[in-house]
Amino acid sequence: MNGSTSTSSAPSLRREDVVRDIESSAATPLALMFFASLAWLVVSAVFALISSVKLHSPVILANCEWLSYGHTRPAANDTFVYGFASQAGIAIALWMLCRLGSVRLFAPIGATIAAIFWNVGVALGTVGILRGDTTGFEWLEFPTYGSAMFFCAFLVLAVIALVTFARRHDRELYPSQWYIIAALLWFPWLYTTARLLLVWHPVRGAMQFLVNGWFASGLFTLWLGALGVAVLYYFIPKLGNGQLYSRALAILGFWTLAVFGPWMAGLYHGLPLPSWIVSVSIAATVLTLVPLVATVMNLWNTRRFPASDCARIWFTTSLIFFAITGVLNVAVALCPAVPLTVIVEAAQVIALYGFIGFALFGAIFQIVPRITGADLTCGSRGKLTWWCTMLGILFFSGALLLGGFVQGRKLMDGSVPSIDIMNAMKPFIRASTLGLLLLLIGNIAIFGSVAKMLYDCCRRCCSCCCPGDKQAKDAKLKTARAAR
Amino acid sequence: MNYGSVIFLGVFATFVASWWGMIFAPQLQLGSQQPKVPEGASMAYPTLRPGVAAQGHKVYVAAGCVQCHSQQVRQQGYVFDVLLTGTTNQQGTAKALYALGIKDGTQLISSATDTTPQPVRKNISQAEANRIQKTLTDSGATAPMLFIPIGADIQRGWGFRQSVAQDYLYENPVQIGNSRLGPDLTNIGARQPDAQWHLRHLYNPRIDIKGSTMPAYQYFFEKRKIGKTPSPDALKLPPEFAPAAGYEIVPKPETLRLVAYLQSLRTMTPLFEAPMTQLPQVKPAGDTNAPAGTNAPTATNAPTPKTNSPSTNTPAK
Repeated sequence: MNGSTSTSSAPSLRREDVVRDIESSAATPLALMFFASLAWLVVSAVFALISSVKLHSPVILANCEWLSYGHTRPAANDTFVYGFASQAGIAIALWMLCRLGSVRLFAPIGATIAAIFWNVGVALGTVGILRGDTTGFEWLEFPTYGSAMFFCAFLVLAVIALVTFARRHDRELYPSQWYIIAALLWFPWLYTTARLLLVWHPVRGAMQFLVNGWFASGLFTLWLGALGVAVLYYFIPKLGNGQLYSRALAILGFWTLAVFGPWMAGLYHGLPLPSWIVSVSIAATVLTLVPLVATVMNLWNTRRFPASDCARIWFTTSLIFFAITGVLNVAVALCPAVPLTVIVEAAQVIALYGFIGFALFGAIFQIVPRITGADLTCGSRGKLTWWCTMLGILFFSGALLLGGFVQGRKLMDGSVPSIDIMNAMKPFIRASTLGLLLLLIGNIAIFGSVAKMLYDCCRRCCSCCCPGDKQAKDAKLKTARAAR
Repeated sequence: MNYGSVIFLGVFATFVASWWGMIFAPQLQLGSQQPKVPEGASMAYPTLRPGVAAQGHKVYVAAGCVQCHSQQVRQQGYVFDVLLTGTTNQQGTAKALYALGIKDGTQLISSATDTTPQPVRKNISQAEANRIQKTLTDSGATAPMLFIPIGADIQRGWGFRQSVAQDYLYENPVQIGNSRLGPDLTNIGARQPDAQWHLRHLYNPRIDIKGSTMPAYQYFFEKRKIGKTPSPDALKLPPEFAPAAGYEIVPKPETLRLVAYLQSLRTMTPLFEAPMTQLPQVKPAGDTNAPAGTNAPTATNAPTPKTNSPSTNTPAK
């Protein structure tokens, strides 16, 4: 791995001191962002669970306007994406930029303030959805008062990330940095275009769902997906022998994603759009198999984990789900019976929890102990999180893939009345509720685990930058960072 | 790949390309769409919703109905019917009909008028329809052709033809939906024109549709004591769903708007890019979720069909 710590800035210091100095520079904003993002994760799972229960038992909470299905489902989606995944993703990105560039975080106070505003923005947006102020566009439901604050906070964090990147001491770039820099460009572009063309100055008619689809697929592939791949590129070699299998493959994967990724607007045949637009979108979706294969092959061959390392499981799982996500995307685009069924929802959970979630969880379990001085070994809560999340994904997506298959078959048969379609799906939806319950338990476990690490740290020294038990920590840093 | 600027410029360039291709170019094509007057119609299509229905659209958006209900009808293709409405050459037409395998051609001819067209062939392909139409026309007969869109959605009664971009021109925000946990609502206004049905359905979907999984939107209603005279808007509920004696269920103003919007949802205008000749039959109230029975409704009671699209230039799908 080429991000070896440079000592040019402080030649007399020991490498570990430099690393600790870099890590502690980002400790406060990162601790805040991890804590808040995991809290949002739990909130999101609660909303998702309520939505799922309502699908088979519509009388539950029926008189509560704020908790009707039409409100809880977008609330679950948006709190996951903006509250958890984007926030944890950008926090990890900041950390990786610091470590890979051997540079202290620029303006940590600014980052902390931005993180506070980010969370206030997400909270306002979520309340807005619940009280019916939604914009009505998928993944963009936050009303302007929430989204504006969230986006300003994002811009501050993005600028901090770019300045940190520009001030790096290690000039050589590593694939994780490519993906982070690209994602920091892609996301604001996607988000402002979508908000501008849908909410502030709406385009007319059919253009709206084209812009919405373009944004949604970009959000998954170019923002969350790129952050997830950056995490995998960082931690998989780091936990192994430190060598990336092939830099050429990484370059191929990155540039093919940059070329094809933005064109996949998640469209499918049957949408009331001109055929050429749909065809371009599907062709681009199929072509994203190139970056997928290149990236997965590269990372798969990079895995050389020591057998005892329990952290590897997060990233291996994430990598496998990454491959499944890419293949499912193509299947959804190519098969006319799939869109409009719950298969789409199953694919979303595989992408959000399986690929991005596992990558972020693994990274959080690596980073939080380092900034709090807690024990790096895998605790029981980590195992519980892994098992619950894994079983939750399997239950949920398995049930909905089967249910969606039944639904798709029946939707394509015009002699089946719509009430029969829904009734045929009920058993599958019940099973998916069980999956969401498991996901919720896993989410609470990781939230509890991180909250405890932060609490212990604060109690020990009333400040997260305190080195804690120096000797024990040094020993652990040494073992965990054999790669460097 | 060791310069931030290389990454930045490369990503910038590739993303600009997609922005031009997926946003700007489609906007040039779709953004300039205007309401247009379909052939044979007097009014431009689509039309703006009336005020109450437009306000109801906001209620629809706020309640998140789109999470379960799509508004897009998909179509698998077309079948064609050839009708006979009259002839100037009875003998020739009877011969032509006989050649097509219709034995009692004279009877068909005698009963065929502009108002009672007689089907010659039903549910056939376009090529065959063209051939039969030509044979009959050559014999002096008037033989119009019906465009009948087919597909599961249409058979189920969710729409009369596929949705096309033109249909969404005045929608904002467009609630096309990506999930069909409930039925498609593109044509709910035509399928279910009764406002009382919609109000009952919102109050408790299981009144009219047993086993429905739609949530009961009871917060759209007010339960109040009956005053001197019962409210004229109060719901007429079957006894097992009715409130306690002395109380009535009255819809809130936004509920009436929402229902006005639902009633306004109907897409039945044939367009050049989505032709159809079969005049839609509005189904009786009460069986909105039942299948439409047949996807090629009887042509016998249809008025003289007007084909709005040149038969030789029909989009295949």
